[in-house]
Amino acid sequence: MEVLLSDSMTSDPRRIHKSGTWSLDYMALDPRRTHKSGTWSLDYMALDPRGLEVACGAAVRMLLLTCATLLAACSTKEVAVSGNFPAPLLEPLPVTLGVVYEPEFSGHEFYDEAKGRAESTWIVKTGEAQVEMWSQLLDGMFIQTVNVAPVEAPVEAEEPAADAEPPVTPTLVKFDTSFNEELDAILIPRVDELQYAIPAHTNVKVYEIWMRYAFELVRTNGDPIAEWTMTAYGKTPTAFLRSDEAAVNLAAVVALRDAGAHFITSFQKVPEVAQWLEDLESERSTTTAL
Amino acid sequence: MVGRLRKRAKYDNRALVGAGRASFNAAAFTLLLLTSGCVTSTVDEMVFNEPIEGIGDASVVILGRRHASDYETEFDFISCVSKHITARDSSIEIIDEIEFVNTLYPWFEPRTAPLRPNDIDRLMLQKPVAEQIAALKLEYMIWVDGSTVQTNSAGSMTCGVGPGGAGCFGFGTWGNASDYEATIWDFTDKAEVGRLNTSTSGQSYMPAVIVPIPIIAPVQGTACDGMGDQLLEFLSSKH
Repeated sequence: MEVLLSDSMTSDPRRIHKSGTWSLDYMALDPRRTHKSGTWSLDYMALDPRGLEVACGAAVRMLLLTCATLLAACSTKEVAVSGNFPAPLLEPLPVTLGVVYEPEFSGHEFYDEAKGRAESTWIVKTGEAQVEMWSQLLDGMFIQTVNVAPVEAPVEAEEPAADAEPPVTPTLVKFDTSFNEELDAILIPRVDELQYAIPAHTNVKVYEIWMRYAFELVRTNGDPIAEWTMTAYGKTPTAFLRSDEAAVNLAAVVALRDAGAHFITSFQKVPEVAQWLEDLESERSTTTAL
Repeated sequence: MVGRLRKRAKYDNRALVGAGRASFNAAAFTLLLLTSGCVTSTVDEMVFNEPIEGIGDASVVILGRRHASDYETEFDFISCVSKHITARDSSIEIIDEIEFVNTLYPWFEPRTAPLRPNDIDRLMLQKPVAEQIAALKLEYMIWVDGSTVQTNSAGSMTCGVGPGGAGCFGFGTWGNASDYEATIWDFTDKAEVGRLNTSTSGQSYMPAVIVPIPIIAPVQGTACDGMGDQLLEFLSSKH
Protein backbone atom coordinates (compact mmCIF):
# COMPACT_ATOMS: atom_id res chain seq x y z
CA MET A 1 0.00 0.00 0.00
CA GLU A 2 1.26 3.49 -0.85
CA VAL A 3 0.19 6.36 1.36
CA LEU A 4 0.71 10.09 0.88
CA LEU A 5 0.03 12.29 3.90
CA SER A 6 -0.72 15.95 3.33
CA ASP A 7 -1.73 18.80 5.65
CA SER A 8 -3.88 21.85 5.01
CA MET A 9 -3.77 23.29 8.51
CA THR A 10 -4.67 26.91 9.20
CA SER A 11 -3.15 28.41 12.31
CA ASP A 12 -5.07 30.66 14.59
CA PRO A 13 -3.24 33.99 15.15
CA ARG A 14 -3.85 33.66 18.91
CA ARG A 15 -2.14 30.21 18.86
CA ILE A 16 -4.84 28.59 21.00
CA HIS A 17 -7.25 27.42 18.35
CA LYS A 18 -6.21 25.41 15.34
CA SER A 19 -8.41 23.84 12.77
CA GLY A 20 -8.04 22.33 9.35
CA THR A 21 -8.07 19.12 7.39
CA TRP A 22 -5.67 16.24 7.27
CA SER A 23 -5.96 14.32 4.07
CA LEU A 24 -4.65 10.90 3.26
CA ASP A 25 -4.27 9.84 -0.36
CA TYR A 26 -3.99 6.13 -0.63
CA MET A 27 -3.57 3.51 -3.24
CA ALA A 28 -4.05 -0.05 -2.15
CA LEU A 29 -2.69 -2.61 -4.55
CA ASP A 30 -4.59 -5.82 -4.26
CA PRO A 31 -2.46 -8.93 -4.77
CA ARG A 32 -5.08 -10.23 -7.22
CA ARG A 33 -4.98 -7.66 -10.03
CA THR A 34 -7.40 -5.14 -8.53
CA HIS A 35 -6.38 -1.84 -7.10
CA LYS A 36 -8.22 0.84 -5.24
CA SER A 37 -7.34 4.44 -4.66
CA GLY A 38 -8.88 7.57 -3.23
CA THR A 39 -8.64 10.14 -0.47
CA TRP A 40 -9.72 9.99 3.13
CA SER A 41 -9.94 13.27 4.95
CA LEU A 42 -10.32 14.15 8.60
CA ASP A 43 -11.47 17.57 9.74
CA TYR A 44 -10.15 18.48 13.12
CA MET A 45 -10.27 21.28 15.62
CA ALA A 46 -7.95 21.30 18.57
CA LEU A 47 -7.81 23.65 21.49
CA ASP A 48 -4.26 23.71 22.68
CA PRO A 49 -2.90 26.17 25.19
CA ARG A 50 0.57 24.74 24.80
CA GLY A 51 0.93 25.40 21.15
CA LEU A 52 1.07 23.73 17.83
CA GLU A 53 3.02 20.54 18.67
CA VAL A 54 0.39 19.06 21.02
CA ALA A 55 -2.40 19.77 18.54
CA CYS A 56 -0.42 18.12 15.77
CA GLY A 57 0.35 15.10 17.96
CA ALA A 58 -3.29 14.66 18.91
CA ALA A 59 -4.43 15.08 15.33
CA VAL A 60 -1.92 12.54 14.11
CA ARG A 61 -3.07 10.05 16.77
CA MET A 62 -6.70 10.56 15.73
CA LEU A 63 -5.73 10.29 12.12
CA LEU A 64 -3.89 7.05 12.65
CA LEU A 65 -6.82 5.65 14.63
CA THR A 66 -9.26 6.61 11.88
CA CYS A 67 -6.97 5.20 9.20
CA ALA A 68 -6.63 1.93 11.09
CA THR A 69 -10.43 1.67 11.31
CA LEU A 70 -10.89 2.50 7.64
CA LEU A 71 -8.16 0.13 6.51
CA ALA A 72 -9.61 -2.69 8.62
CA ALA A 73 -12.96 -2.29 6.86
CA CYS A 74 -11.63 -3.06 3.39
CA SER A 75 -8.65 -5.28 4.11
CA THR A 76 -7.72 -8.66 2.71
CA LYS A 77 -8.16 -11.51 5.16
CA GLU A 78 -5.82 -14.39 4.50
CA VAL A 79 -5.98 -17.75 6.22
CA ALA A 80 -3.40 -20.51 5.73
CA VAL A 81 -5.31 -23.42 7.23
CA SER A 82 -3.44 -25.36 9.90
CA GLY A 83 -4.65 -27.74 12.56
CA ASN A 84 -4.45 -31.10 14.24
CA PHE A 85 -5.14 -34.11 12.03
CA PRO A 86 -4.94 -37.35 14.01
CA ALA A 87 -4.15 -40.75 12.51
CA PRO A 88 -7.27 -42.86 11.95
CA LEU A 89 -7.98 -45.80 14.24
CA LEU A 90 -8.97 -48.71 12.00
CA GLU A 91 -7.73 -51.93 10.43
CA PRO A 92 -5.83 -50.90 7.29
CA LEU A 93 -7.05 -52.27 3.98
CA PRO A 94 -4.58 -54.72 2.38
CA VAL A 95 -3.91 -52.39 -0.53
CA THR A 96 -0.74 -50.63 -1.62
CA LEU A 97 -2.00 -47.32 -2.86
CA GLY A 98 -0.23 -44.63 -4.82
CA VAL A 99 -1.46 -41.10 -4.19
CA VAL A 100 -1.04 -38.23 -6.61
CA TYR A 101 -1.27 -34.75 -5.15
CA GLU A 102 -1.57 -32.55 -8.20
CA PRO A 103 -0.20 -28.97 -7.96
CA GLU A 104 -3.79 -27.62 -7.99
CA PHE A 105 -4.52 -29.76 -4.93
CA SER A 106 -1.32 -29.27 -2.93
CA GLY A 107 -1.46 -25.53 -3.59
CA HIS A 108 -5.22 -25.21 -3.35
CA GLU A 109 -6.53 -21.84 -2.28
CA PHE A 110 -9.91 -20.20 -2.33
CA TYR A 111 -10.22 -16.56 -3.29
CA ASP A 112 -13.30 -14.40 -2.79
CA GLU A 113 -13.10 -10.75 -3.72
CA ALA A 114 -14.94 -8.19 -1.58
CA LYS A 115 -18.21 -7.03 -3.12
CA GLY A 116 -18.21 -3.66 -1.34
CA ARG A 117 -16.24 -1.40 0.98
CA ALA A 118 -17.79 -2.95 4.08
CA GLU A 119 -16.64 -6.43 3.10
CA SER A 120 -13.22 -8.04 3.11
CA THR A 121 -11.47 -9.99 0.41
CA TRP A 122 -10.83 -13.53 1.57
CA ILE A 123 -7.98 -15.86 0.64
CA VAL A 124 -8.24 -19.28 2.26
CA LYS A 125 -5.18 -21.46 1.56
CA THR A 126 -6.04 -25.09 2.22
CA GLY A 127 -3.42 -26.89 0.06
CA GLU A 128 -0.83 -27.59 2.74
CA ALA A 129 -3.46 -28.74 5.26
CA GLN A 130 -5.13 -30.90 2.58
CA VAL A 131 -1.90 -32.78 1.87
CA GLU A 132 -1.15 -33.14 5.61
CA MET A 133 -4.62 -34.47 6.41
CA TRP A 134 -4.91 -36.84 3.43
CA SER A 135 -1.38 -38.21 3.89
CA GLN A 136 -2.10 -38.97 7.56
CA LEU A 137 -5.49 -40.47 6.73
CA LEU A 138 -4.42 -42.66 3.81
CA ASP A 139 -1.32 -43.88 5.67
CA GLY A 140 -3.60 -45.26 8.37
CA MET A 141 -6.31 -46.50 6.03
CA PHE A 142 -4.16 -48.59 3.66
CA ILE A 143 -1.41 -51.04 4.45
CA GLN A 144 1.04 -48.97 2.42
CA THR A 145 0.86 -45.70 0.56
CA VAL A 146 3.34 -44.19 -1.87
CA ASN A 147 3.40 -40.59 -2.98
CA VAL A 148 3.46 -40.58 -6.75
CA ALA A 149 4.75 -37.46 -8.42
CA PRO A 150 2.38 -35.86 -10.89
CA VAL A 151 3.82 -35.24 -14.34
CA GLU A 152 2.70 -33.20 -17.30
CA ALA A 153 0.21 -35.00 -19.50
CA PRO A 154 1.93 -36.38 -22.59
CA VAL A 155 1.34 -34.58 -25.86
CA GLU A 156 -1.32 -36.32 -27.90
CA ALA A 157 0.01 -38.64 -30.57
CA GLU A 158 -0.08 -37.67 -34.23
CA GLU A 159 -3.20 -38.36 -36.20
CA PRO A 160 -3.22 -42.07 -37.16
CA ALA A 161 -3.31 -43.02 -40.75
CA ALA A 162 -6.75 -43.47 -42.28
CA ASP A 163 -6.34 -47.23 -42.66
CA ALA A 164 -4.85 -47.75 -39.17
CA GLU A 165 -6.93 -49.29 -36.37
CA PRO A 166 -8.17 -46.78 -33.78
CA PRO A 167 -6.66 -47.14 -30.25
CA VAL A 168 -8.83 -49.16 -27.88
CA THR A 169 -8.62 -46.82 -24.86
CA PRO A 170 -6.86 -43.49 -25.18
CA THR A 171 -5.06 -43.27 -21.84
CA LEU A 172 -3.43 -40.09 -20.59
CA VAL A 173 -1.09 -41.00 -17.78
CA LYS A 174 -0.53 -37.96 -15.57
CA PHE A 175 1.79 -39.45 -12.98
CA ASP A 176 5.13 -41.09 -12.52
CA THR A 177 4.80 -44.71 -13.63
CA SER A 178 8.05 -45.98 -12.12
CA PHE A 179 6.16 -47.45 -9.13
CA ASN A 180 3.87 -49.58 -11.31
CA GLU A 181 5.10 -52.93 -10.04
CA GLU A 182 4.57 -52.05 -6.39
CA LEU A 183 1.14 -50.45 -6.49
CA ASP A 184 -2.38 -51.87 -6.62
CA ALA A 185 -3.96 -48.60 -7.69
CA ILE A 186 -3.48 -44.87 -7.70
CA LEU A 187 -5.78 -42.34 -6.05
CA ILE A 188 -6.01 -38.78 -7.33
CA PRO A 189 -7.94 -36.46 -4.98
CA ARG A 190 -9.11 -33.07 -6.23
CA VAL A 191 -10.96 -30.18 -4.59
CA ASP A 192 -13.88 -29.61 -6.91
CA GLU A 193 -15.48 -26.72 -5.06
CA LEU A 194 -15.18 -24.79 -1.81
CA GLN A 195 -17.75 -22.45 -0.31
CA TYR A 196 -17.60 -20.48 2.89
CA ALA A 197 -20.05 -18.44 4.97
CA ILE A 198 -19.31 -16.01 7.75
CA PRO A 199 -21.78 -14.25 10.09
CA ALA A 200 -21.43 -11.02 8.07
CA HIS A 201 -22.92 -12.85 5.06
CA THR A 202 -25.64 -14.88 6.74
CA ASN A 203 -26.51 -13.15 10.04
CA VAL A 204 -26.14 -16.56 11.67
CA LYS A 205 -23.49 -16.77 14.35
CA VAL A 206 -21.70 -19.65 12.66
CA TYR A 207 -18.67 -19.80 10.35
CA GLU A 208 -19.02 -22.54 7.76
CA ILE A 209 -16.83 -24.24 5.17
CA TRP A 210 -18.23 -26.66 2.62
CA MET A 211 -16.09 -28.62 0.18
CA ARG A 212 -16.74 -31.03 -2.63
CA TYR A 213 -13.99 -33.46 -3.55
CA ALA A 214 -13.65 -35.42 -6.76
CA PHE A 215 -11.72 -38.68 -6.53
CA GLU A 216 -10.24 -40.70 -9.33
CA LEU A 217 -9.01 -44.24 -8.65
CA VAL A 218 -6.98 -45.60 -11.54
CA ARG A 219 -4.87 -48.63 -12.34
CA THR A 220 -1.13 -48.16 -12.60
CA ASN A 221 -1.39 -47.96 -16.39
CA GLY A 222 -3.91 -45.13 -16.06
CA ASP A 223 -7.07 -47.16 -16.76
CA PRO A 224 -9.94 -45.87 -14.62
CA ILE A 225 -11.36 -47.99 -11.78
CA ALA A 226 -13.76 -45.50 -10.21
CA GLU A 227 -14.66 -41.84 -10.14
CA TRP A 228 -16.82 -40.35 -7.44
CA THR A 229 -17.47 -37.15 -5.53
CA MET A 230 -17.77 -36.55 -1.81
CA THR A 231 -18.73 -33.56 0.32
CA ALA A 232 -17.35 -32.33 3.61
CA TYR A 233 -18.67 -29.71 6.00
CA GLY A 234 -17.25 -27.87 8.96
CA LYS A 235 -18.66 -25.17 11.17
CA THR A 236 -17.66 -23.26 14.25
CA PRO A 237 -19.75 -20.82 16.27
CA THR A 238 -18.72 -17.26 17.00
CA ALA A 239 -16.76 -16.83 20.20
CA PHE A 240 -15.71 -13.88 22.29
CA LEU A 241 -12.36 -12.43 21.14
CA ARG A 242 -12.00 -14.96 18.29
CA SER A 243 -11.05 -13.28 15.02
CA ASP A 244 -12.75 -14.04 11.69
CA GLU A 245 -9.53 -15.64 10.45
CA ALA A 246 -9.22 -17.95 13.46
CA ALA A 247 -12.88 -18.97 13.15
CA VAL A 248 -12.59 -19.71 9.41
CA ASN A 249 -9.41 -21.72 10.09
CA LEU A 250 -11.23 -23.74 12.74
CA ALA A 251 -14.20 -24.34 10.43
CA ALA A 252 -11.80 -25.49 7.68
CA VAL A 253 -10.05 -27.90 10.08
CA VAL A 254 -13.44 -29.33 11.10
CA ALA A 255 -14.33 -29.68 7.40
CA LEU A 256 -11.07 -31.50 6.66
CA ARG A 257 -11.61 -33.86 9.59
CA ASP A 258 -15.15 -34.44 8.31
CA ALA A 259 -13.73 -35.18 4.85
CA GLY A 260 -11.48 -37.83 6.39
CA ALA A 261 -14.37 -39.36 8.34
CA HIS A 262 -16.61 -39.36 5.27
CA PHE A 263 -13.91 -40.93 3.08
CA ILE A 264 -13.26 -43.74 5.56
CA THR A 265 -16.93 -44.58 5.93
CA SER A 266 -17.81 -44.29 2.23
CA PHE A 267 -14.75 -45.61 0.32
CA GLN A 268 -15.78 -49.26 0.33
CA LYS A 269 -19.40 -48.35 -0.43
CA VAL A 270 -18.57 -46.92 -3.87
CA PRO A 271 -19.82 -49.79 -6.10
CA GLU A 272 -16.83 -49.78 -8.49
CA VAL A 273 -14.38 -49.65 -5.60
CA ALA A 274 -16.18 -52.49 -3.80
CA GLN A 275 -16.01 -54.56 -7.00
CA TRP A 276 -12.32 -53.77 -7.49
CA LEU A 277 -11.49 -54.73 -3.87
CA GLU A 278 -13.39 -57.99 -4.33
CA ASP A 279 -11.53 -58.74 -7.57
CA LEU A 280 -8.22 -57.89 -5.92
CA GLU A 281 -8.93 -60.24 -3.04
CA SER A 282 -9.98 -63.14 -5.30
CA GLU A 283 -6.94 -62.53 -7.54
CA ARG A 284 -4.66 -62.76 -4.49
CA SER A 285 -6.40 -65.93 -3.23
CA THR A 286 -5.90 -67.54 -6.63
CA THR A 287 -2.22 -66.54 -6.68
CA THR A 288 -1.74 -67.91 -3.15
CA ALA A 289 -3.50 -71.16 -4.04
CA LEU A 290 -1.23 -71.61 -7.03
CA MET B 1 0.92 3.44 81.81
CA VAL B 2 3.03 3.71 78.77
CA GLY B 3 2.99 -0.05 78.48
CA ARG B 4 -0.79 -0.16 78.74
CA LEU B 5 -1.15 2.54 76.21
CA ARG B 6 1.19 0.71 73.89
CA LYS B 7 -0.75 -2.48 74.45
CA ARG B 8 -4.01 -0.74 73.80
CA ALA B 9 -2.52 0.88 70.74
CA LYS B 10 -1.44 -2.55 69.60
CA TYR B 11 -4.92 -3.92 70.13
CA ASP B 12 -6.32 -0.91 68.35
CA ASN B 13 -4.01 -1.52 65.45
CA ARG B 14 -5.06 -5.14 65.31
CA ALA B 15 -8.68 -4.06 65.46
CA LEU B 16 -7.97 -1.59 62.71
CA VAL B 17 -6.26 -4.22 60.59
CA GLY B 18 -9.08 -6.65 61.32
CA ALA B 19 -11.70 -4.04 60.57
CA GLY B 20 -9.80 -3.11 57.42
CA ARG B 21 -9.73 -6.73 56.26
CA ALA B 22 -13.38 -7.20 57.15
CA SER B 23 -14.41 -4.06 55.33
CA PHE B 24 -12.24 -5.07 52.34
CA ASN B 25 -13.84 -8.51 52.29
CA ALA B 26 -17.30 -6.97 52.67
CA ALA B 27 -16.54 -4.53 49.88
CA ALA B 28 -15.24 -7.33 47.66
CA PHE B 29 -18.33 -9.45 48.46
CA THR B 30 -20.64 -6.50 47.82
CA LEU B 31 -18.79 -5.77 44.57
CA LEU B 32 -19.12 -9.41 43.59
CA LEU B 33 -22.84 -9.32 44.37
CA LEU B 34 -23.23 -6.08 42.52
CA THR B 35 -21.27 -7.24 39.50
CA SER B 36 -23.13 -10.57 39.26
CA GLY B 37 -26.52 -10.61 37.63
CA CYS B 38 -29.34 -12.87 38.81
CA VAL B 39 -29.61 -16.39 37.41
CA THR B 40 -32.50 -18.85 37.60
CA SER B 41 -31.61 -22.50 37.27
CA THR B 42 -33.72 -25.66 36.98
CA VAL B 43 -32.24 -29.15 37.08
CA ASP B 44 -34.22 -32.28 36.18
CA GLU B 45 -32.82 -35.71 36.78
CA MET B 46 -33.89 -39.17 35.70
CA VAL B 47 -31.55 -42.01 36.64
CA PHE B 48 -32.29 -45.68 35.97
CA ASN B 49 -29.31 -47.57 37.25
CA GLU B 50 -27.04 -45.59 39.52
CA PRO B 51 -23.73 -47.23 40.57
CA ILE B 52 -23.87 -47.86 44.34
CA GLU B 53 -20.14 -47.97 45.00
CA GLY B 54 -19.13 -45.28 42.53
CA ILE B 55 -17.26 -46.17 39.38
CA GLY B 56 -14.10 -47.55 41.03
CA ASP B 57 -11.02 -47.44 38.82
CA ALA B 58 -13.01 -47.19 35.59
CA SER B 59 -13.07 -43.97 33.58
CA VAL B 60 -15.72 -41.67 32.18
CA VAL B 61 -15.78 -39.50 29.12
CA ILE B 62 -18.00 -36.45 28.68
CA LEU B 63 -18.64 -35.51 25.06
CA GLY B 64 -20.52 -32.66 23.42
CA ARG B 65 -23.01 -33.21 20.60
CA ARG B 66 -22.07 -31.19 17.52
CA HIS B 67 -24.18 -32.54 14.68
CA ALA B 68 -26.96 -29.91 14.75
CA SER B 69 -26.82 -27.32 12.00
CA ASP B 70 -27.46 -24.16 14.04
CA TYR B 71 -25.60 -24.75 17.30
CA GLU B 72 -22.99 -26.93 18.88
CA THR B 73 -22.24 -27.79 22.49
CA GLU B 74 -19.35 -25.61 23.60
CA PHE B 75 -16.00 -27.29 24.31
CA ASP B 76 -15.49 -25.01 27.30
CA PHE B 77 -18.80 -26.13 28.82
CA ILE B 78 -17.73 -29.78 28.64
CA SER B 79 -14.37 -28.84 30.12
CA CYS B 80 -16.12 -26.91 32.91
CA VAL B 81 -18.35 -29.88 33.85
CA SER B 82 -15.33 -32.23 33.86
CA LYS B 83 -13.34 -29.88 36.10
CA HIS B 84 -16.34 -29.43 38.41
CA ILE B 85 -16.56 -33.19 38.95
CA THR B 86 -12.83 -33.89 39.38
CA ALA B 87 -12.42 -30.92 41.73
CA ARG B 88 -14.97 -32.46 44.12
CA ASP B 89 -13.97 -36.11 43.73
CA SER B 90 -10.45 -36.61 42.46
CA SER B 91 -10.90 -40.40 42.36
CA ILE B 92 -13.14 -40.06 39.29
CA GLU B 93 -11.06 -40.27 36.15
CA ILE B 94 -12.53 -38.21 33.35
CA ILE B 95 -10.89 -38.53 29.95
CA ASP B 96 -10.30 -35.21 28.20
CA GLU B 97 -12.84 -34.77 25.40
CA ILE B 98 -10.47 -33.59 22.66
CA GLU B 99 -7.90 -36.25 23.53
CA PHE B 100 -10.60 -38.95 23.37
CA VAL B 101 -12.01 -37.74 20.04
CA ASN B 102 -8.50 -37.54 18.53
CA THR B 103 -7.49 -40.97 19.83
CA LEU B 104 -10.61 -42.57 18.36
CA TYR B 105 -10.65 -40.55 15.12
CA PRO B 106 -12.83 -40.70 13.00
CA TRP B 107 -15.46 -42.54 15.06
CA PHE B 108 -16.58 -39.63 17.25
CA GLU B 109 -16.74 -36.88 14.63
CA PRO B 110 -20.14 -35.15 14.20
CA ARG B 111 -20.81 -37.31 11.12
CA THR B 112 -19.87 -40.66 12.66
CA ALA B 113 -20.58 -40.35 16.40
CA PRO B 114 -23.02 -42.96 17.77
CA LEU B 115 -26.47 -41.48 18.38
CA ARG B 116 -27.98 -44.41 20.29
CA PRO B 117 -26.50 -46.93 22.74
CA ASN B 118 -27.16 -49.69 20.19
CA ASP B 119 -24.67 -48.01 17.84
CA ILE B 120 -21.87 -48.98 20.24
CA ASP B 121 -22.04 -52.56 18.95
CA ARG B 122 -21.39 -51.36 15.41
CA LEU B 123 -18.48 -49.31 16.70
CA MET B 124 -16.97 -52.20 18.61
CA LEU B 125 -16.84 -54.27 15.41
CA GLN B 126 -13.73 -52.24 14.62
CA LYS B 127 -11.05 -54.23 16.44
CA PRO B 128 -8.66 -51.31 17.10
CA VAL B 129 -11.57 -49.25 18.50
CA ALA B 130 -12.62 -52.06 20.86
CA GLU B 131 -9.01 -52.48 22.02
CA GLN B 132 -8.57 -48.77 22.62
CA ILE B 133 -11.79 -48.49 24.61
CA ALA B 134 -10.82 -51.53 26.69
CA ALA B 135 -7.41 -49.92 27.37
CA LEU B 136 -9.14 -46.74 28.55
CA LYS B 137 -11.35 -48.79 30.97
CA LEU B 138 -14.30 -46.75 29.80
CA GLU B 139 -17.37 -47.40 31.94
CA TYR B 140 -19.64 -44.45 31.20
CA MET B 141 -20.02 -42.21 28.19
CA ILE B 142 -21.90 -38.99 28.89
CA TRP B 143 -23.28 -37.04 25.95
CA VAL B 144 -24.11 -33.38 26.58
CA ASP B 145 -26.36 -31.65 24.07
CA GLY B 146 -27.27 -27.97 24.23
CA SER B 147 -25.88 -24.47 24.16
CA THR B 148 -26.03 -21.03 25.71
CA VAL B 149 -27.67 -18.33 23.62
CA GLN B 150 -28.42 -14.65 23.94
CA THR B 151 -32.18 -14.24 24.21
CA ASN B 152 -32.69 -10.46 24.23
CA SER B 153 -30.78 -7.21 24.32
CA ALA B 154 -31.71 -3.58 24.87
CA GLY B 155 -30.21 -0.20 25.62
CA SER B 156 -27.54 1.84 23.96
CA MET B 157 -24.07 3.00 24.76
CA THR B 158 -21.88 5.61 23.16
CA CYS B 159 -18.14 5.50 23.45
CA GLY B 160 -15.74 8.18 22.30
CA VAL B 161 -12.03 8.61 21.98
CA GLY B 162 -10.44 12.04 22.04
CA PRO B 163 -7.01 13.55 22.52
CA GLY B 164 -7.68 13.84 26.26
CA GLY B 165 -8.86 10.27 26.78
CA ALA B 166 -11.74 7.91 26.18
CA GLY B 167 -15.05 7.19 27.82
CA CYS B 168 -18.49 5.66 27.45
CA PHE B 169 -21.97 6.70 28.48
CA GLY B 170 -25.18 4.72 28.38
CA PHE B 171 -26.81 1.52 29.58
CA GLY B 172 -27.09 -1.92 28.06
CA THR B 173 -28.82 -5.09 29.13
CA TRP B 174 -29.03 -8.56 27.63
CA GLY B 175 -30.38 -11.93 28.59
CA ASN B 176 -28.76 -15.34 28.23
CA ALA B 177 -30.32 -18.78 28.42
CA SER B 178 -28.65 -22.16 28.72
CA ASP B 179 -30.32 -25.46 28.04
CA TYR B 180 -28.25 -28.63 28.32
CA GLU B 181 -29.22 -32.26 28.45
CA ALA B 182 -26.81 -34.98 29.53
CA THR B 183 -27.44 -38.57 28.55
CA ILE B 184 -25.49 -41.23 30.43
CA TRP B 185 -24.62 -44.46 28.61
CA ASP B 186 -23.34 -47.50 30.39
CA PHE B 187 -20.62 -48.64 28.02
CA THR B 188 -20.47 -52.19 29.38
CA ASP B 189 -24.20 -52.87 29.21
CA LYS B 190 -24.62 -50.66 26.12
CA ALA B 191 -27.68 -49.02 27.64
CA GLU B 192 -28.85 -45.59 28.64
CA VAL B 193 -28.84 -45.32 32.44
CA GLY B 194 -29.66 -41.71 33.13
CA ARG B 195 -30.70 -38.39 31.74
CA LEU B 196 -30.22 -34.92 33.26
CA ASN B 197 -31.45 -31.55 32.11
CA THR B 198 -30.28 -28.14 33.21
CA SER B 199 -32.05 -24.96 32.14
CA THR B 200 -30.65 -21.64 33.25
CA SER B 201 -31.48 -18.06 32.39
CA GLY B 202 -30.24 -14.70 33.57
CA GLN B 203 -30.08 -11.03 32.78
CA SER B 204 -26.82 -9.08 32.53
CA TYR B 205 -26.47 -5.30 32.78
CA MET B 206 -23.82 -2.81 31.79
CA PRO B 207 -24.20 0.78 32.96
CA ALA B 208 -21.50 3.14 31.74
CA VAL B 209 -20.55 6.55 33.10
CA ILE B 210 -17.10 7.07 31.58
CA VAL B 211 -16.15 3.49 32.56
CA PRO B 212 -18.52 0.63 31.64
CA ILE B 213 -19.32 -1.60 34.63
CA PRO B 214 -20.38 -5.07 33.47
CA ILE B 215 -22.78 -6.86 35.82
CA ILE B 216 -22.67 -10.28 34.24
CA ALA B 217 -25.13 -13.09 35.00
CA PRO B 218 -23.05 -16.32 35.07
CA VAL B 219 -25.64 -18.30 33.10
CA GLN B 220 -23.36 -20.92 31.58
CA GLY B 221 -21.33 -21.23 34.78
CA THR B 222 -24.49 -21.93 36.81
CA ALA B 223 -25.60 -24.52 34.27
CA CYS B 224 -22.14 -26.11 34.51
CA ASP B 225 -22.35 -26.24 38.32
CA GLY B 226 -25.88 -27.67 38.22
CA MET B 227 -25.00 -30.38 35.74
CA GLY B 228 -21.67 -31.11 37.45
CA ASP B 229 -23.37 -31.59 40.84
CA GLN B 230 -25.96 -33.98 39.41
CA LEU B 231 -23.34 -36.02 37.55
CA LEU B 232 -21.23 -36.10 40.68
CA GLU B 233 -24.14 -37.60 42.61
CA PHE B 234 -24.43 -40.26 39.95
CA LEU B 235 -20.73 -41.10 39.58
CA SER B 236 -19.29 -40.57 43.05
CA SER B 237 -19.67 -42.78 46.09
CA LYS B 238 -18.86 -39.78 48.32
CA HIS B 239 -21.81 -37.62 47.25
